[in-house]
Amino acid sequence: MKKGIIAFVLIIGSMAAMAQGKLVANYFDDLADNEAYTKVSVSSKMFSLFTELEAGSEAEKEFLKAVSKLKGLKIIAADSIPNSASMYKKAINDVNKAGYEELMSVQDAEENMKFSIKEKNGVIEELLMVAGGKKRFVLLSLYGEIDLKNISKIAQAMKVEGLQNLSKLDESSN
Amino acid sequence: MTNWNLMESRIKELLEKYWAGTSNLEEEAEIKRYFKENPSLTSEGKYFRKVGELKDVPKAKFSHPGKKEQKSRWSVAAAVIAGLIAAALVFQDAKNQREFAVEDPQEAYEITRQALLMVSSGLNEGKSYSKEITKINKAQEIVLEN
Repeated sequence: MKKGIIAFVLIIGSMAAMAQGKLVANYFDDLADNEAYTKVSVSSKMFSLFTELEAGSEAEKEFLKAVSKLKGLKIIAADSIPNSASMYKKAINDVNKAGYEELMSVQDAEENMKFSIKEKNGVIEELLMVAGGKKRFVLLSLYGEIDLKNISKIAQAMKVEGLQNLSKLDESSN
Repeated sequence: MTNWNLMESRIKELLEKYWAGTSNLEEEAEIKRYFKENPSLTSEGKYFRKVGELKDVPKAKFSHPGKKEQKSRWSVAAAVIAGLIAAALVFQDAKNQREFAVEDPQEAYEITRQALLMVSSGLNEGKSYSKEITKINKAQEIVLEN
């Protein structure tokens, strides 16, 4: 009986560990042979390699800070599929069924985007992004310890750098 | 006919009913009582005395000697099945990771950077929408107040 209980605990433990990124992993299986979709998985080992890099710019600093606590990244993306709308609906449905909590959703004329999270003890353990355009579909899962503030700073820092580069271009052209 | 003879013929009659399977509980109790009070060395006497004693034995929890072994067999089987499921899940996940894993650190860096930038832009877009909505709501409140 004890052995049974230990095995049960082991199963639950391993399932919980694998639960992160599981939704995207299921899509990997379903779309394994479909070449219209790009499937990418970046492991925690790669993230640990990044942290050894030296940050040059502010954007890079923010990026490396965000990456330092991540354990994995999984992406499924397609740029020209005819059924992007139905894929988006299916993914949203799967995300809701899997018990993710909606963080925010953005809808405009060109694209719909939805962010969902899985939180445990006040820590975001997984961030899912589903995006669907006219022919575009993206399902992205970031897992580990996620700092939303930090992630949102990346684009801001890049925007600032872009503007700085633009002003430099203007100066050199004059 | 003496009392003793009467008793004997009554017991004989009851025994016949007992072996024929037609005796009731009261009659069976009577037979047991008889053999208890009148120790008899006949096989029937020994039998009924033993049957009579059985009732007095305190009820013990029945545990089959093979049951323990059976139980442990079940738990081993459960452990093996559980282990197989866990191994299959780990293997499946590892297969997934391997199949689409980016091996080149440079490529992995660029993909991660692009992915985080996409997420970051999306989050900022959502934030700016919510700021605009808040502004609109505040403006509406001011208009309604005036």
